[in-house]
Amino acid sequence: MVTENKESKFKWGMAVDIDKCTGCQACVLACQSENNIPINTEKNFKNARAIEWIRVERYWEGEFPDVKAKFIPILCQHCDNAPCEPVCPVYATYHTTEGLNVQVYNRCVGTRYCANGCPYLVRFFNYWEPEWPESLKNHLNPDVTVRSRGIMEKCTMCIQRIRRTTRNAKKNDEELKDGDISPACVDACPTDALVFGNQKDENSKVSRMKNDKRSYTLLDNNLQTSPNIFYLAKIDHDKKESTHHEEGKHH
Amino acid sequence: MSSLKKNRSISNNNLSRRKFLGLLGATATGAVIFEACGVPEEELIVESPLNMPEDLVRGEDQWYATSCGISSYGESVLVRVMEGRAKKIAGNPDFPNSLGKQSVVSETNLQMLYHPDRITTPLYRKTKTGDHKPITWDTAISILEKGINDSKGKSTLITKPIRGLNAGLIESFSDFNSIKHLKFDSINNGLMNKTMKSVFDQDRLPYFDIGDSDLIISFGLDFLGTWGPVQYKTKFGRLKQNHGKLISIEPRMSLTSANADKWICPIPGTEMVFAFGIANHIISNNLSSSNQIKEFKNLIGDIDLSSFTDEYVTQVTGLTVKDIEYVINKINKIKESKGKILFLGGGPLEGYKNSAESMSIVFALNYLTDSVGSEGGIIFNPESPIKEFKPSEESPTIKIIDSSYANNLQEWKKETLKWESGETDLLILRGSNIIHGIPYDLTKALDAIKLKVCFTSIFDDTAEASDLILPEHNSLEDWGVDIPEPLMGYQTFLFQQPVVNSPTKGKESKPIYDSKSFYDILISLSDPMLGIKNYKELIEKFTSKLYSTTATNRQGSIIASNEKQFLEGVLSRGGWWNINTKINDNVSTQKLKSINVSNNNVFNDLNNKEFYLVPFLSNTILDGITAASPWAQGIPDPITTIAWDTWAEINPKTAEKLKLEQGDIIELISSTGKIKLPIFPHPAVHPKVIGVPIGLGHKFSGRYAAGKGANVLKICHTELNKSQTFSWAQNTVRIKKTENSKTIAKFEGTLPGGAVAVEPGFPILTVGPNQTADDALHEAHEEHMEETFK
Amino acid sequence: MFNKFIEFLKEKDRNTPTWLKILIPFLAFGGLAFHAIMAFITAFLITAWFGNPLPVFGFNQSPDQPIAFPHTIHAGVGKLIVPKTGKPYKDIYGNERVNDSGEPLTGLGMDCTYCHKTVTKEAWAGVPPVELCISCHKVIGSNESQELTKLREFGLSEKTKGPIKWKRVHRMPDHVRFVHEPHIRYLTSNPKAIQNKSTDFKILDNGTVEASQVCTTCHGQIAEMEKVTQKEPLKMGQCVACHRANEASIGCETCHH
Repeated sequence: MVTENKESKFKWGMAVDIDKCTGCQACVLACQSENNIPINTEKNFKNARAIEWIRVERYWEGEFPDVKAKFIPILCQHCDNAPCEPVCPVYATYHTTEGLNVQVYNRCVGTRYCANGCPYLVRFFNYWEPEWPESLKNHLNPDVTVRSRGIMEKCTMCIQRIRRTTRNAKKNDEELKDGDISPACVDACPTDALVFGNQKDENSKVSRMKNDKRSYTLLDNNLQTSPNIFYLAKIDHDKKESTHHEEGKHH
Repeated sequence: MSSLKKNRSISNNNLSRRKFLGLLGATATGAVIFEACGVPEEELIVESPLNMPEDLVRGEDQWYATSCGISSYGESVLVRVMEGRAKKIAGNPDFPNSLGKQSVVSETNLQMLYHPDRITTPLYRKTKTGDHKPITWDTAISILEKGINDSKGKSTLITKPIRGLNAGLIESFSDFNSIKHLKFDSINNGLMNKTMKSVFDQDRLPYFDIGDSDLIISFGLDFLGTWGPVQYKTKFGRLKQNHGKLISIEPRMSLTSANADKWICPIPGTEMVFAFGIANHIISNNLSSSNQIKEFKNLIGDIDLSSFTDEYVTQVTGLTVKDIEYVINKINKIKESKGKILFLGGGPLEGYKNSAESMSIVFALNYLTDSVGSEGGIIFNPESPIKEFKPSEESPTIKIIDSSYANNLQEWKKETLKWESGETDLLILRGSNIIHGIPYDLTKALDAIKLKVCFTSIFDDTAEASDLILPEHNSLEDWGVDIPEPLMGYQTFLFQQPVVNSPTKGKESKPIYDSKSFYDILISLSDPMLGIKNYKELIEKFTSKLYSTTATNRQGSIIASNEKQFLEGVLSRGGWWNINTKINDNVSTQKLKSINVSNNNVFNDLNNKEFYLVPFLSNTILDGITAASPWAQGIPDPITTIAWDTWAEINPKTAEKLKLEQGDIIELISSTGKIKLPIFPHPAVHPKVIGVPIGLGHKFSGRYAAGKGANVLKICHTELNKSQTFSWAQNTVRIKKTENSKTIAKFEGTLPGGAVAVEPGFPILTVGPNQTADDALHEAHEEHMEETFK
Repeated sequence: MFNKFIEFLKEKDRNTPTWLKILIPFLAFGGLAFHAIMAFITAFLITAWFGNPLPVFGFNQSPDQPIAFPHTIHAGVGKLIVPKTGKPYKDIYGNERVNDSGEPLTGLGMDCTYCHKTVTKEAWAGVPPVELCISCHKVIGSNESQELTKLREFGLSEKTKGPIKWKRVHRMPDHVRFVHEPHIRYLTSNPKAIQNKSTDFKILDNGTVEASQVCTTCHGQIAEMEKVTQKEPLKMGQCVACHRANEASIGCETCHH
């Protein structure tokens, strides 16, 4: 549970327009290369140990020939009321003043309670020491820790990029503008389905999308997690407008 | 005695237990200490580079613009370089066809650059069967030079379809040495370009204005997946923003179909009939002006469109009347609101026996909806501002090629017959894995060639069959000038520059990858009259020519006061473009030759045990170009979430009928061969179709690709059709069950805990056009309750 | 003699088997030795916890470098004498750094940022490329010096040219991302926060100091080191104490990502 910090100018958030997501997986690869995620080998997949901080889930609707595939990118929801935080015995996962849920690798002892607590299944455990052939280490991102065995890891909203951009703005005495900071997945998304920004800035793109009529959050109604990732519902132009939803409101 | 024994045993027990606990504690602490202190070796050593990398001078990490290298459409990327190492690849926000976004394959180039199995030195084998032994570059070049001189007129050079100055240099090299130049692509036979010529009289691919259209009807063109530059995907985002609609008609669910408002799945090869049905509908309901109808009829010749009634179309395509009505209703609606309708064709439509006609008729439909040469439709591209140039006064001219496509299967068959008969002495291959990509066996043909030279950076199947292997620079280490195709409606050049050098090894500072630029080698073996030492020099000369012809009127992306400044500007922005060169041409079909389409609707008659086999390009591995990269292999396929494997997509009901389950290994048998692969049933497959991804099934290609999956191209139909192209999408196969089955490596269902908790509207909520999310959630909940308690 | 001893043992306590009687003293010594080792490990851990670990088992704070680069000559100012003893510095071969007349050499007083170029701009300070060393040592420095011969092998000779692999001396704990740039930026404009100030510490007229004056805070008097040693433990406590004192962010995500 986080108490609103009045001092911080920022509360980061992301909006995902599912209507635009094509499921192309560009975000997944961009994330893997930015955050030094270990190579997901065939064995990893078969043992159900593949790590993807952001993943694109595909859902089927209907049967052939009226079948539809729908895609949704799912990443850490950075919940204000995160179920993973209170269960950690060593406080390895906590909330920053800027609204991010972060994992402190040094503290993590690998109990995996947090992963069990997470309803979005976005926390991944390093069952093995990550391995790269010597030459591939050349492209590892020096701004991001290589997590060792026994550590839980998850999406950080590319905190290294947030810190770098805010630092550079400070260095050059500039104000941060909306869109200056973008996590690797947002940077890569070809259809602009992902948008990142400061929720405390009312004119930012993410705030406007958050207040869009199509905006909803995942599992918030049931679990009261208050996520900071806002999804914009998929539009189905052929969906029949409901006839009974007016009366339904009374229930 | 007995009492003592008892005592002793008790005391021993106590002692050992305590000691055991103590020891356990000690070892456990010990393990923790050393685990915690274990620092990866690379963090213990700080390497001071020999020479100062560019970014070290500035003291900041740098982003350099260069060409993507993997994409064949000429996309520009930015590469983050730190201390001389490439760290990240992202789309170039400046460049017209990437706009800051990247397609999923672009980034795999990082792994190709630092691939552990990248060839480090030239290799040569003296005998046909011997092992490849390392040789020096000097020896390698002299072998190549001798080969070229000994086989004048009897040699062939194979590259990918390449454009721009790159292509010009290759042409100039092959002309000088009288080498035949062929262009290779595994399934693309250049039908798209030929269709543009015959239907729109265009020498280059036009720009499809997806973003500003209102309805797109795509006959298989996978512009959201494996076809086209990333900008088409960005434009799809815009289409969605404008509430435009997309209908996809193809026998297999590609990413484009998955994102379409409606996917219509006809029997492979019958799309043409559907297209005629649409034409018939538009004409009979007077949805087009008489002028447009005239244009259309001029082009397609005498064909009785009225015979394509709904009944006939449903009968042939296997679709329902509802599907046809859906499309027709949408067309009517858009026509009423005077919107734009864009018809596109590609993908499997290019791989049928009637492909040439099918493609033509689909693109010709644009005449009926007035989408030719206008916004929201098909926009024509201007030709290159420089068509040819001379590096110096006396030198021969170098052509600047702005459109290029691969040779078709007929030409390949002719060529390989020539090889077999011993008419070719030298074969130079560059970046073309022909052994993997040509559908028939090449062993005999390649054996008859005296010297096979292969420029590559990964030891692939074709390299293995070559005699001389020359390690080539990665695109991030090389120079280049490309013209993107398709252009975005205006003149554009893409500049490629080296952004990194090979990392070095040992005290000798030998580059780990002792590679050379392909183009530098070509220049050293080209006409000495060109008067240039290396490719960089040629590019500088070309840039000054570009400056003098285009920049003097102060137009284009770079305004510079001198040539040097201009070159710097071009390199830092990733290229040169001029948005003032848009053309507003329209085409009249009166000038065009009629394509005379007859209803040659060819589909294989199947018996009960046979299926249509529809291969498709893998989302990240494409036709195998990135197979060596563990990222490309490990990114799940969007539809099936399978990684690291080749699979056969099958309809669940068909699978049930055949008593097959996910992971069961089957044998697909066609008239030309058979492959073994696991099956993956999912609902988006036609009951009579089996979809198999192309891209795997390599014998070599590095540690990550070797032995993985199967190569479906080897069982494709290789008989030539009327259009002389490879009909890779029109195959009949039989399924033979085997006893074996395996766990497929896939992402779906691998998450801890099994499944996400399900609530109505979770995770994907669908709203109507005017509905709010709250209402939709409520509605979903109501429906859920009704269903649960009915 | 031996037999007598065995007899003696047998007689002493008849109920206990002889072999056990022989074993007991050994067990006792073994236990002592074990406890001694444990005590040593504990001591080692305690010192490592509160400061730098003891320089044993490869936990040396000043590893031998491929080239014994003397910061004294390059960065030192004035006469090169060890402050404590007043004697000239000795190089790794034990020779005193003196000129022909026996006088101590004078330090070159080079600015830290001349070689560690990126320290004011980026996360890492950066080690200079061999090219930079060679730009001076092409001509400067005697041919007899073994270390300079090694350097010239790395930088000049076509055959042996190559990067130098320096051993890292200052090491952060795992999972820490330290960024030099904001620290240098803060300290240059707030000289009060600088610790271990060097002898020639000088505040400029506008109240700031030069970038090279702030390094001592974490690295100690590098200019007085013949061989670079990690003087400060660089533990999290030290970081946090300084961050608190200067009202910098103390959120975990500040450094751990």
